[in-house]
Amino acid sequence: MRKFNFPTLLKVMALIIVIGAVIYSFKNQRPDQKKIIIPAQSVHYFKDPSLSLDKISLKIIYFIPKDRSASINQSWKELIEPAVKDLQSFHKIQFDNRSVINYEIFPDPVIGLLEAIDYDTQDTNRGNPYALSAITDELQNRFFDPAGDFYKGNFAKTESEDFSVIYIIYQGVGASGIQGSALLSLSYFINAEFSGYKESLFYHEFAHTLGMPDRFDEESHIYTSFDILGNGKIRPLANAYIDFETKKEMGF
Amino acid sequence: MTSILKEINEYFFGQSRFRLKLTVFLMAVALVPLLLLGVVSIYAININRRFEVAALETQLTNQKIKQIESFLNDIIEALRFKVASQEPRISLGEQNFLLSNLMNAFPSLEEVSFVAVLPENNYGKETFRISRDKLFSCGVIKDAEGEKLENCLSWSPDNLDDPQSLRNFQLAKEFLAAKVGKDYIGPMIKTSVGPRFIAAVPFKNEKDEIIGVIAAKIFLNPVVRLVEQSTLGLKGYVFVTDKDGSVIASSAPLFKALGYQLKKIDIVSSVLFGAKRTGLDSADAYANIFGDKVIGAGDIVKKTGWAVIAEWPEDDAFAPSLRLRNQIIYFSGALAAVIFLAATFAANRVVRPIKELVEGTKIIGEGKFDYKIDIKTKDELKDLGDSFNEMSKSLKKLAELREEFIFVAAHELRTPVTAIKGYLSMILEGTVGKISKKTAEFLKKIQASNDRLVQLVQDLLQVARSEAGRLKIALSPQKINESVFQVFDELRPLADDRNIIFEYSRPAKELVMADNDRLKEVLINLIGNAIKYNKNDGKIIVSHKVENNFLVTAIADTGIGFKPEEMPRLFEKFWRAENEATRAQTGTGLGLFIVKELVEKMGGKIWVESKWQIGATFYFSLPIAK
Repeated sequence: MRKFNFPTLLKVMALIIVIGAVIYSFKNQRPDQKKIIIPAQSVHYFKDPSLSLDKISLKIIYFIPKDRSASINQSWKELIEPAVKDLQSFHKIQFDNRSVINYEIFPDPVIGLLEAIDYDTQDTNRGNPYALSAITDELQNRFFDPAGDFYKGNFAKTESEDFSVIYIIYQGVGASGIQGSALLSLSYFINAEFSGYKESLFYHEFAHTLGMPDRFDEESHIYTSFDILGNGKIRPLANAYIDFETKKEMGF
Repeated sequence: MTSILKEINEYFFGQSRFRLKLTVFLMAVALVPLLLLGVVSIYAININRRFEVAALETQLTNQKIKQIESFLNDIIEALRFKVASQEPRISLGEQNFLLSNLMNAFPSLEEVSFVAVLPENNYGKETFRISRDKLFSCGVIKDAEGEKLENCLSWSPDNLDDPQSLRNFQLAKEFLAAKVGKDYIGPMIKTSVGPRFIAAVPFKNEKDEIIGVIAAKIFLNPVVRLVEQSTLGLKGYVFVTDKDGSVIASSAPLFKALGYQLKKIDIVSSVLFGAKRTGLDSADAYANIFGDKVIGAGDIVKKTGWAVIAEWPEDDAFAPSLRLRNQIIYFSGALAAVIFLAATFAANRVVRPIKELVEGTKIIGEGKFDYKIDIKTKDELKDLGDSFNEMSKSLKKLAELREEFIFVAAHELRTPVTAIKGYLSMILEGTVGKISKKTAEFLKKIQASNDRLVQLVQDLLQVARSEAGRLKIALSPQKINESVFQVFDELRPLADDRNIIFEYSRPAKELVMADNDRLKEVLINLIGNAIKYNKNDGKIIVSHKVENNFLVTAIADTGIGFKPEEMPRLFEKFWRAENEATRAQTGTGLGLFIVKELVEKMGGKIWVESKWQIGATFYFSLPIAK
C-alpha cells in the first residue's frame, strides 16, 4: 500500500481551498447594469398578431385644399407638435413601453390638387372619412411615389418592420381614422372649446389607425366605455386611458 | 527567498515523521471540534436568517395588503351610503350635497357620478356628476321654478361628444354590476398622472331599494405612495400588480419604470391564482426579472385580486448572516493557523530532545564518548539524556581501557616478535650452523607468519597511538612528486613480479603541507594495495589535480574494484572485503583505517570511487602549501 504523504495532502488541501475561493468569487459576481431577462411581450394590430406595433412610424402632414391656400395657419406646427409629443408619451404609458412611436412632421404645408368640396363628404358629422380616403390616395402619389412632387427620400422611407401611419392635419372639417391613416381638422387645435381634450381627440383618431374600434354602440348611441375610444376622448389626455378590453386584443 | 521557503518547508514539513504525526494529531484534536462547531453555526445562522427574511417579507406584504384594503374599504364604504328617505328618487340638490361631501372627504376621488336605476328616473343615465376638473362637473342651481342643472346637458344622441353632457351608463360594466346590488372594483387603468380605477356601488333608500348607482373614478396615488415608501433592507422592494400582472406601484424605481406585465413570472401568477407565498419554500428563492437571486413572498388583495409581492436580493437579505459567516470563517481560519503553529511548536518541543538523543547516540556510536547530550526539559527525557551521558562515560572508560590494553599488548608484543624475526633471519642465514632444506622451508613459513605478526603489531600500535592522540605529525611543505617516485621505486619489484606498470600522468608542481614519513606511508599503503589487488599485466595510474587550495591525488588501479555495498565500510577498522582476491592476500584490515587517520590528521580527506571488476580509484587531498 502506498504511504500516506501528509505534506502533499496539506498542499492539495490548500490548492482546493484556493480553487474554491476563486470559483466562489466568480459565482458571486453581480452584473453592473440591470437587464430584464423575461422575454419581451410584443404588441400587435387590433386582432391581427401578424402586424407588429412594436415600432410605429408616424408621418404628419398639414394638408390644405387648393381653394383654402390663403387660409394657411402659419402657427400650425407649434399647434401640432406638443400634441404629437403627448400622443407619443400617452401611447408609451398605455402600452407599457412595448410600442414605440417615432414621428416626423413634414416641414411645409401641402396644398391639395383639388378644392375642399372635392375632398369632403356632404355630411362631415361622421368624421369625413371620404376626405381621409381621398387625401390619403393623393398623398401616396405625391409623397411616396418617386415621381411625386413631394417625394423626398427620407420622409418617404420607412423601416420594413415599422408599422406606418400617415396623420393628416386637415385645413377643413373632419376627424377620422382607418388602418394606417387618420385625419383631424386643424380647428380642433385652434378652437377654445376643444382646448381641454384636443390631445385626446388627436390620439383617438390615431388609435383607429392601429385598428382600435370605437367603444360605442351604433344602435343605441351609447358609449360602452369611458376610455379614450369611448366617452373618454372628450376628457383631458392626462385622465384618459385605453380599456383593457381593447388592449387584450393587441397582445396583452 | 527560496532558501527561506526551504527553511519554512523544512520546519513545518521536514523529514521527522513523528513530529508530523504529532502535529497532525494535535491539529486534529483541536480543529475537528472547531470545524464542526463552525459548520453547525453557519448552517444554523443561514436557516435562521432565511426564517427572518421570510418573516420580514410576509410582514411587509401583509402590512401593504392591509393598507391597500383599508384604503379601498374607506372609499367603497364612503360611496355606499343610504338616503334617509323611502322615496324612489332623490333630488338633484341632495345628489349635489352627497357627492360634494364625498369629493371633499376623499381627495383620491377624481370624479363621482350618480346614475339612475329606476326606469321612471332615466334608467342608466347619469343625473349628477362632480369632477375635480370643473369643466366636466355638472352643477345645480335653484331658481323660482325649482332646481335645474347648470353647465350640463342631459344625455341625448345629439350631444354625445359634448364634455358637459351627462353620460349614459346603460352599457357600462360598473353600472351593470352595481344596479343589481354588487360592488364593482374595476381593473387598474393607467394614465399620464398615475394609476386609478373605477368603482361603483348600489345606492339604496330606507326601504333598501336600489334607486341609483354611485360610480367613481379613483386615484391610486395613495396606494402608489404607500408602496413606494416601503423599505426592505437596502435592496429589497415591494411591487403591486393588478390582476392582469401590470405593475401598479413599486418601491424599486427600476420596476416602476418597467410597466411590464408580469403575469408570466411564477410568483406573480401563483399569487394572482390565490396562492400565498411565504418566502420559505424552495420555489421562493429564484432569479428576478433582472436575473438577481432573490427571496420572494407575496399574497393577494382579495377585494381587488391584485398581487402584492416582496422581493429581496439574497446578497442583501443574507448580508448579516454572510457577515457572521465570514467572521466565523476568518476567526476559524485564524484559530486554525494559531493551532497549526502551536501544534508545530508543541510537536517540536517534544521531538527536539528525542532528536537530540538520536543524534547523540549516533555520535557516541561513532566512538566520540566525550559528546554530552544536553536536554533541558526537566522531565523523563532529560533523565534519559542523563542516562545516555552516564552510559557514554562508562563506554569511554571501557574504550580507554581497551586502547590502553591494545597499546600495552602491542608494545609488549613488539619486542618478542622483533627478536623472533632477528633470530629467524640469523638461523636462515646460517649464522648458527647449517640447517636442512626441510627445516629452512618450515622456518620461512614461520618467518612469513612472524612478518604478518610484526605488521599487525605495528598497525595496532599506530592505531592505538592515533586514537590515544600520541601520533605525532609534523607538517611542512613537501614535494609529493618525490614521495611518489620514491614509493614507485620501493614497490617496483612487487609490481614487476606481476607485470604491473606505473603511470604518473601529471607530476604535481605544487607543494603540500604534510609529514613526509606519513605521506609516504599513505602512498605506500594505497599504491601497495593497488598492486596487491590488481590484475596481472595491470596498470596503476597516479595523478593530481588542484581543487579549492587542495591538491587531490588519485591512485587508480585496474583491479577487481569494490561492490557498491562494500564502499561505505572500506575505512572501518579490521574490515576486509570478502572475495577471492582478498583471500589470496594477507592483511590486517587496518591499512585503510590508518591511511584515513593519517590523511585527516594532515588536514585532508580521503575517498574512493570504484566499479566492481573494473577497478578502484582512491583520492586523497592535502592542503597546498602557501
